Amino acid sequence: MTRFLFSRLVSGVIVVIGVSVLMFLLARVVPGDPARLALGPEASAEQVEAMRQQMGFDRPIAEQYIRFMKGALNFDFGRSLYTDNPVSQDVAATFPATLELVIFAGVAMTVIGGAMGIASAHFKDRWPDNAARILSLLAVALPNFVWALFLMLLLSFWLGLLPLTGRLSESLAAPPAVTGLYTIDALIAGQWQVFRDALAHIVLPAVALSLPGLAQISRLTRTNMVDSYDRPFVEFARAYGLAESSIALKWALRPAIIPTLMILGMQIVALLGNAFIVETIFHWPGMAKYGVNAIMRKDLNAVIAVVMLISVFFVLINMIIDTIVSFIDPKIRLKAS
Amino acid sequence: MEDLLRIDGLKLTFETHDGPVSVLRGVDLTVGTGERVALVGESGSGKSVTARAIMGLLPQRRVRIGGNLHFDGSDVLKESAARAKARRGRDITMIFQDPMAALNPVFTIRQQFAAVLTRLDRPLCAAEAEDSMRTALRDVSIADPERVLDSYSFQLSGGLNQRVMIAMALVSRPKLLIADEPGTALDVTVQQQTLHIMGNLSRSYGTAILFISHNLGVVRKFADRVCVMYAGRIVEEAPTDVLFSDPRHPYTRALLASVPRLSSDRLPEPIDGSVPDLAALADGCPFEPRCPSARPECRGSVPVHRFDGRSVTCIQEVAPA
Amino acid sequence: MSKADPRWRGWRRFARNRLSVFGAALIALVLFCALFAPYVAPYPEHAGVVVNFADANKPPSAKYWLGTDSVGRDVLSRIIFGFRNSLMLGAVVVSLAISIGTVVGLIAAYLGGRVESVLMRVTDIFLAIPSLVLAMAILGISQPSQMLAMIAMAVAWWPWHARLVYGIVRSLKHEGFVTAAEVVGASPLRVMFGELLPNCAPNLLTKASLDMGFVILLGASLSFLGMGAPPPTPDLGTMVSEGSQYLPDLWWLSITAGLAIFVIVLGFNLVADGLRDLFDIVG
Repeated sequence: MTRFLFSRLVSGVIVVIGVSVLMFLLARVVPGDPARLALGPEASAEQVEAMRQQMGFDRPIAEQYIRFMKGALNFDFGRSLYTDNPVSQDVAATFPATLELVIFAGVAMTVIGGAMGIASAHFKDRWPDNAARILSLLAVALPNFVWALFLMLLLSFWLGLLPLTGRLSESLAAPPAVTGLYTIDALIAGQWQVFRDALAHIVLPAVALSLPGLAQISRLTRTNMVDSYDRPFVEFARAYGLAESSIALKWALRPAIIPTLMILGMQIVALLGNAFIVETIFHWPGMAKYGVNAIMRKDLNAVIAVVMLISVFFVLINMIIDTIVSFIDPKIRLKAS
Repeated sequence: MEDLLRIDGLKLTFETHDGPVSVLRGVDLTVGTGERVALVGESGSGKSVTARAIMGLLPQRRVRIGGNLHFDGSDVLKESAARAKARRGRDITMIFQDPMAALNPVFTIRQQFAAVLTRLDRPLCAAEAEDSMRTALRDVSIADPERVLDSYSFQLSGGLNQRVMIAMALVSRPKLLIADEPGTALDVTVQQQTLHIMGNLSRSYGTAILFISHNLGVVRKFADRVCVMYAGRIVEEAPTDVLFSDPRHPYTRALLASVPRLSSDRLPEPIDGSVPDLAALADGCPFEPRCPSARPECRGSVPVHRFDGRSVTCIQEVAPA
Repeated sequence: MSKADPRWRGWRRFARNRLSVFGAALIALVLFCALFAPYVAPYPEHAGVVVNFADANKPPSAKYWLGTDSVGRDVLSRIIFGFRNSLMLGAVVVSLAISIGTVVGLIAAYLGGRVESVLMRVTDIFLAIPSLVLAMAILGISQPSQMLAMIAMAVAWWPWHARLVYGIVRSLKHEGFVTAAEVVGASPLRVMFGELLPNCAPNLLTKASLDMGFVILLGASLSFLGMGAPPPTPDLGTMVSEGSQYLPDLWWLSITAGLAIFVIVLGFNLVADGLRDLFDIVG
């Protein structure tokens, strides 16, 4: 098993390096002069030239890349053109908000989507299955941003149940930072009102974010469970009179989980992608919103840093999933022997 | 010997998308206590469906059932699903065709055996369960039960998996064991071995066996009585040696003639035609299109001749060959 | 066709699935609007530059069935032209993505060895970045335009197809018919495009249908964020974005444009489901 995980780690590292190369090349393709962009139209020619040298654009590409990678390994991605802070500082400040959102959405997506899928397979072709199917279709076909706007309209504007934007009401201060996740930090500090407020603020964006993934997980789990239900070993369990609930939640589920888990990794990363839209709509001060602004303003350093972080996240999530899979699937665990 | 299992005129129709399909068209079958009965027929004859009907494993929807099915005094067709389920794994157990596929690939043998043991009357503590499992495995001639219990099905050979299944099937000392084409997925010699083990063990427990197969050679060695099935109906039934020495139904005769025999110079003769499409079956004898002695009356209703402890479902006054 | 003909059985299976037929009807409707937009739309000129402040921001009425936007253009007409825009975008991107992805996947799976490692690594690298982010990053390079958006989306999308084809071909590689072709002396090109590719067809077709929906969704997301076709081109995502500024009072622009996108994506998803059943594809 360790050999398997190690090889996945190596793959992951290669992917991150590959992404860095890709982004690096992409950034160098930008038409227009980055130095001038940084300094603005008023700067003189000498200032621009000096900036170009400082940015290292006069060096050969390979050397530029090495310089870039060295910086990256030290978490130094240069300065943001817009905020003028070191990019790593900006990213560190905004990442926890995105992480909180992704965690809530991810948990909702996995648990609710999984439960829907299992129920659909168990009640195949009957009304729970059909209802789940319609819900999934709605969740996936109605665009993310339309759902977000619709939920905002319904629950915030018209019914006034949930707050509209941001992470906390203006009157409240953020809890003392332990993890950076307002809900967890508020719990740790015992600030119940802050906790409830933060929770109320995160519900809408998390739901909007989770919907497409929820639909996919639900359909996928259904397919894999139906497949599992058709296998001889489920008939075996039935032939021995084992309880249906045990069959659904244990005998049929565990073999079916493995293919689902593989896709789950991709879905979680897709959450990060969709966060770019959700954070913009809900004015959620996260890394994705920072990323959108960076792209709009051609803030290259920031863009590269955000994408690199996303790819690292991708590799991490996949490693976690691979570890879980190798625990569950004995064929992988025992392959070394 | 009283009847443990009695099936009387069992009819079964599936409502499929393309129309109703009659899979069983009047099956008569009995198994006495401790008796070994073989159910023989080609694929599609309805053998497996019959087995599932006995176990109560048929789908609830889109199925029409008629006739009688009594097991151990209970009317299986009229009882609740819960009653049928309570019996499974305890009074009736089943062995499957492909032992490796029938065992769950992500659970150890021990975990699955433990689940089977929960079906016994008395709940066992961990130590008793472990003991039970090891004894059961040793009874099927597995010398190293510890290793087998720790393994997964894909780590064991086909023969070993089959023996594990036999152990699981007999641990509750069931009244009836249904063996659905056991050993078909195995090599011939391994098949013989495992069947031998199954036979001895069941004999010592007094377990009756309903043996489903399309392999006549195995049947001959193993069964007390043979029922020949064709297109959803039992066409002939007789004690084993009687059936093999004196087959009366044209299908049985054709079947026996089509089996290659090392001891004879005669070449096997295949049966003309193919198994009928159950969706498009007319009334009357289903074998009629392929029967060498078919008559126009065969298209009407076909009587069952019972004599000498055997039965033949044919319109002819069937005489010895 | 006789009743036993497998093609007939196949169509019957598709048609029996009422949802899929409904999906096909939706797509037919959208396609019709797209093809005949200038004749179907009540105010075809509103798809272009029109300034009609007198009628601006009017709710749905008899004159303007779905209301008007902030410069007085008929929302219904713009949606109909938006259909045309979206379908064209989807068709181009999906064709591009399928072409590139299929070739990459085929070559990687069949030729194996170094080629396989390199190609699939590259595919993995592209897959590590969420589609939306990658497309945005590419679009961020220069001024957004319809053309660049299509290229960006194709670049973000091809790896999925490469993965799919790679998986299929890898399992088919050792099948009898492939060995037979090789033994007879068929060149690798012949085997790849003559034997293996046709066997991927059902999967590809189903995925293409599904992809049309998702690519259009991706395009709408991009234009919602302001990276789509520049005005005055009628783009459904841009319309949702424009309308969002006026929520909650002037809701019709966002909601109707959003529902229009929904109709397209729903249609393609339903058809894809039906195709999957039709071809009996597992997983």
